[in-house]
Amino acid sequence: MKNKINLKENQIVFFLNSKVYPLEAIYSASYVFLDRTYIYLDGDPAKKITIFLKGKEKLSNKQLKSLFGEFHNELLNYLLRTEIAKRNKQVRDFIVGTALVSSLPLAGLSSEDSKESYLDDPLGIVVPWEEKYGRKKTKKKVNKKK
Amino acid sequence: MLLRLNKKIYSEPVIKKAIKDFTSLADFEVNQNKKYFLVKTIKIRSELRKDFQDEFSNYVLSLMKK
Repeated sequence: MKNKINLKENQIVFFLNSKVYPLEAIYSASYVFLDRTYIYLDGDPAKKITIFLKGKEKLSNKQLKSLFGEFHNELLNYLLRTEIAKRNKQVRDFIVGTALVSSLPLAGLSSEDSKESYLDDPLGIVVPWEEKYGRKKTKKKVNKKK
Repeated sequence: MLLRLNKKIYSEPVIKKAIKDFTSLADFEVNQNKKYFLVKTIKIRSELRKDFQDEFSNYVLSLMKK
Protein backbone atom coordinates (compact mmCIF):
# COMPACT_ATOMS: atom_id res chain seq x y z
CA MET A 1 0.00 0.00 0.00
CA LYS A 2 1.35 3.39 -0.98
CA ASN A 3 2.19 6.01 1.57
CA LYS A 4 4.23 9.14 1.69
CA ILE A 5 6.29 10.01 4.72
CA ASN A 6 7.28 13.59 5.37
CA LEU A 7 9.69 13.65 8.30
CA LYS A 8 9.94 17.42 8.29
CA GLU A 9 6.19 17.72 8.75
CA ASN A 10 6.19 14.69 11.09
CA GLN A 11 3.46 13.31 8.87
CA ILE A 12 2.41 10.27 6.84
CA VAL A 13 -0.07 10.55 3.98
CA PHE A 14 -1.90 7.66 2.37
CA PHE A 15 -5.01 6.88 0.35
CA LEU A 16 -7.91 4.56 1.07
CA ASN A 17 -10.37 3.15 -1.42
CA SER A 18 -13.83 4.18 -0.21
CA LYS A 19 -15.40 1.06 -1.67
CA VAL A 20 -13.28 -1.06 0.66
CA TYR A 21 -13.21 1.29 3.63
CA PRO A 22 -16.45 3.24 4.11
CA LEU A 23 -16.30 6.72 5.59
CA GLU A 24 -17.94 5.56 8.84
CA ALA A 25 -15.14 3.07 9.45
CA ILE A 26 -12.55 5.78 8.73
CA TYR A 27 -14.20 8.14 11.23
CA SER A 28 -14.20 5.41 13.88
CA ALA A 29 -10.59 4.39 13.29
CA SER A 30 -9.49 8.03 13.27
CA TYR A 31 -11.22 8.61 16.59
CA VAL A 32 -8.93 6.06 18.23
CA PHE A 33 -5.84 7.98 17.06
CA LEU A 34 -6.97 11.48 18.02
CA ASP A 35 -5.03 11.46 21.29
CA ARG A 36 -1.72 10.62 19.56
CA THR A 37 -2.01 12.28 16.17
CA TYR A 38 -3.53 15.15 14.27
CA ILE A 39 -5.74 13.73 11.55
CA TYR A 40 -6.99 15.49 8.48
CA LEU A 41 -9.19 13.87 5.84
CA ASP A 42 -9.67 14.91 2.25
CA GLY A 43 -10.75 13.42 -1.06
CA ASP A 44 -13.97 11.99 -2.39
CA PRO A 45 -15.90 9.53 -0.19
CA ALA A 46 -17.28 7.92 -3.35
CA LYS A 47 -13.82 7.08 -4.69
CA LYS A 48 -10.68 7.71 -2.68
CA ILE A 49 -10.03 9.30 0.69
CA THR A 50 -6.70 10.87 1.61
CA ILE A 51 -5.58 10.52 5.23
CA PHE A 52 -3.00 12.85 6.75
CA LEU A 53 -1.63 11.49 10.02
CA LYS A 54 0.62 13.92 11.85
CA GLY A 55 2.29 12.94 15.11
CA LYS A 56 1.69 15.16 18.12
CA GLU A 57 5.20 14.30 19.26
CA LYS A 58 8.24 13.99 16.99
CA LEU A 59 8.17 10.57 15.29
CA SER A 60 10.83 8.67 13.39
CA ASN A 61 10.38 7.11 9.97
CA LYS A 62 9.82 3.71 11.61
CA GLN A 63 7.29 5.10 14.06
CA LEU A 64 5.33 6.77 11.27
CA LYS A 65 5.23 3.49 9.34
CA SER A 66 4.08 1.72 12.48
CA LEU A 67 1.33 4.31 12.89
CA PHE A 68 0.25 3.58 9.34
CA GLY A 69 0.01 -0.15 10.12
CA GLU A 70 -1.86 0.44 13.35
CA PHE A 71 -4.35 2.66 11.57
CA HIS A 72 -5.07 -0.08 9.06
CA ASN A 73 -5.54 -2.64 11.81
CA GLU A 74 -8.01 -0.35 13.51
CA LEU A 75 -9.82 0.13 10.20
CA LEU A 76 -10.19 -3.64 9.82
CA ASN A 77 -11.45 -3.86 13.37
CA TYR A 78 -14.21 -1.34 12.63
CA LEU A 79 -15.03 -2.92 9.30
CA LEU A 80 -15.66 -6.21 11.05
CA ARG A 81 -17.73 -4.51 13.73
CA THR A 82 -19.97 -2.77 11.20
CA GLU A 83 -20.32 -5.99 9.21
CA ILE A 84 -21.39 -7.96 12.31
CA ALA A 85 -23.75 -5.15 13.33
CA LYS A 86 -25.34 -5.31 9.86
CA ARG A 87 -25.72 -9.08 10.01
CA ASN A 88 -27.23 -9.11 13.50
CA LYS A 89 -29.53 -6.13 13.05
CA GLN A 90 -32.71 -8.19 12.70
CA VAL A 91 -31.93 -10.33 15.73
CA ARG A 92 -31.08 -7.26 17.83
CA ASP A 93 -34.28 -5.49 16.78
CA PHE A 94 -36.29 -8.58 17.63
CA ILE A 95 -34.71 -8.94 21.08
CA VAL A 96 -35.17 -5.28 21.95
CA GLY A 97 -38.72 -5.28 20.58
CA THR A 98 -39.66 -8.35 22.62
CA ALA A 99 -38.11 -6.86 25.75
CA LEU A 100 -40.02 -3.61 25.30
CA VAL A 101 -43.37 -5.28 24.62
CA SER A 102 -43.02 -7.65 27.56
CA SER A 103 -42.29 -4.70 29.88
CA LEU A 104 -45.57 -2.97 28.98
CA PRO A 105 -48.30 -3.19 31.62
CA LEU A 106 -51.13 -5.47 30.43
CA ALA A 107 -53.90 -3.04 31.45
CA GLY A 108 -52.41 -0.39 29.24
CA LEU A 109 -52.60 -2.42 26.05
CA SER A 110 -56.19 -1.49 25.15
CA SER A 111 -59.15 -0.43 27.19
CA GLU A 112 -61.58 -1.96 24.66
CA ASP A 113 -59.99 -5.38 24.86
CA SER A 114 -60.65 -5.68 28.55
CA LYS A 115 -64.36 -4.84 28.18
CA GLU A 116 -65.02 -7.41 25.47
CA SER A 117 -66.35 -10.77 26.45
CA TYR A 118 -66.76 -14.01 24.58
CA LEU A 119 -70.50 -13.61 25.12
CA ASP A 120 -70.59 -10.49 22.96
CA ASP A 121 -71.32 -11.31 19.35
CA PRO A 122 -71.49 -8.11 17.29
CA LEU A 123 -71.31 -10.00 13.97
CA GLY A 124 -73.97 -12.55 14.90
CA ILE A 125 -71.77 -15.55 14.34
CA VAL A 126 -72.67 -17.47 17.41
CA VAL A 127 -75.63 -19.83 16.95
CA PRO A 128 -76.77 -21.95 19.86
CA TRP A 129 -76.41 -25.69 19.34
CA GLU A 130 -80.07 -26.26 19.97
CA GLU A 131 -81.05 -23.74 17.29
CA LYS A 132 -78.76 -25.28 14.73
CA TYR A 133 -79.32 -28.99 15.33
CA GLY A 134 -82.55 -29.06 17.31
CA ARG A 135 -83.07 -30.56 20.72
CA LYS A 136 -81.18 -33.65 21.55
CA LYS A 137 -83.43 -36.68 21.45
CA THR A 138 -83.37 -38.67 24.59
CA LYS A 139 -83.16 -42.36 24.03
CA LYS A 140 -85.68 -44.42 25.77
CA LYS A 141 -84.17 -47.05 27.79
CA VAL A 142 -85.67 -50.40 27.12
CA ASN A 143 -85.17 -52.97 29.73
CA LYS A 144 -85.00 -56.22 28.08
CA LYS A 145 -86.07 -58.96 30.20
CA LYS A 146 -84.19 -62.04 29.76
CA MET B 1 -4.78 30.70 9.36
CA LEU B 2 -7.06 28.99 6.88
CA LEU B 3 -8.39 25.47 7.25
CA ARG B 4 -10.05 23.77 4.32
CA LEU B 5 -12.56 21.11 5.28
CA ASN B 6 -13.97 18.92 2.54
CA LYS B 7 -17.77 19.26 2.29
CA LYS B 8 -18.21 15.58 1.55
CA ILE B 9 -16.32 14.57 4.68
CA TYR B 10 -17.06 17.29 7.24
CA SER B 11 -20.62 18.50 7.80
CA GLU B 12 -21.62 22.12 8.31
CA PRO B 13 -23.56 21.69 11.60
CA VAL B 14 -20.56 19.91 13.11
CA ILE B 15 -18.19 22.71 12.04
CA LYS B 16 -20.57 25.28 13.54
CA LYS B 17 -20.72 23.31 16.78
CA ALA B 18 -16.91 23.12 16.92
CA ILE B 19 -16.61 26.87 16.31
CA LYS B 20 -19.11 27.50 19.09
CA ASP B 21 -17.03 25.35 21.45
CA PHE B 22 -13.76 27.06 20.43
CA THR B 23 -15.13 30.55 20.34
CA SER B 24 -13.48 31.56 23.62
CA LEU B 25 -10.04 30.72 22.18
CA ALA B 26 -10.18 32.52 18.84
CA ASP B 27 -12.36 34.34 16.34
CA PHE B 28 -13.63 32.49 13.30
CA GLU B 29 -14.85 33.31 9.83
CA VAL B 30 -16.49 30.65 7.72
CA ASN B 31 -16.80 30.80 3.97
CA GLN B 32 -17.21 28.11 1.38
CA ASN B 33 -16.43 27.29 -2.19
CA LYS B 34 -17.75 24.43 -4.28
CA LYS B 35 -15.69 21.75 -2.56
CA TYR B 36 -14.58 23.10 0.82
CA PHE B 37 -15.68 24.92 3.93
CA LEU B 38 -13.04 27.58 4.50
CA VAL B 39 -12.54 28.19 8.20
CA LYS B 40 -10.39 31.20 8.89
CA THR B 41 -9.10 31.63 12.41
CA ILE B 42 -8.05 35.03 13.64
CA LYS B 43 -7.01 36.46 16.99
CA ILE B 44 -5.86 33.11 18.32
CA ARG B 45 -4.54 33.22 21.86
CA SER B 46 -0.76 33.42 21.54
CA GLU B 47 -0.03 30.36 23.72
CA LEU B 48 -2.31 28.19 21.55
CA ARG B 49 -1.24 29.42 18.15
CA LYS B 50 1.19 26.58 17.35
CA ASP B 51 -1.24 23.65 17.19
CA PHE B 52 -4.55 25.46 17.13
CA GLN B 53 -5.55 24.54 13.59
CA ASP B 54 -4.64 20.87 14.03
CA GLU B 55 -6.47 20.67 17.35
CA PHE B 56 -9.53 22.29 15.83
CA SER B 57 -9.43 19.87 12.90
CA ASN B 58 -9.19 16.94 15.32
CA TYR B 59 -12.11 18.26 17.33
CA VAL B 60 -14.30 18.56 14.22
CA LEU B 61 -13.37 14.99 13.28
CA SER B 62 -14.24 13.72 16.77
CA LEU B 63 -17.67 15.35 16.45
CA MET B 64 -18.15 13.68 13.07
CA LYS B 65 -17.83 10.29 14.69
CA LYS B 66 -20.65 10.97 17.17
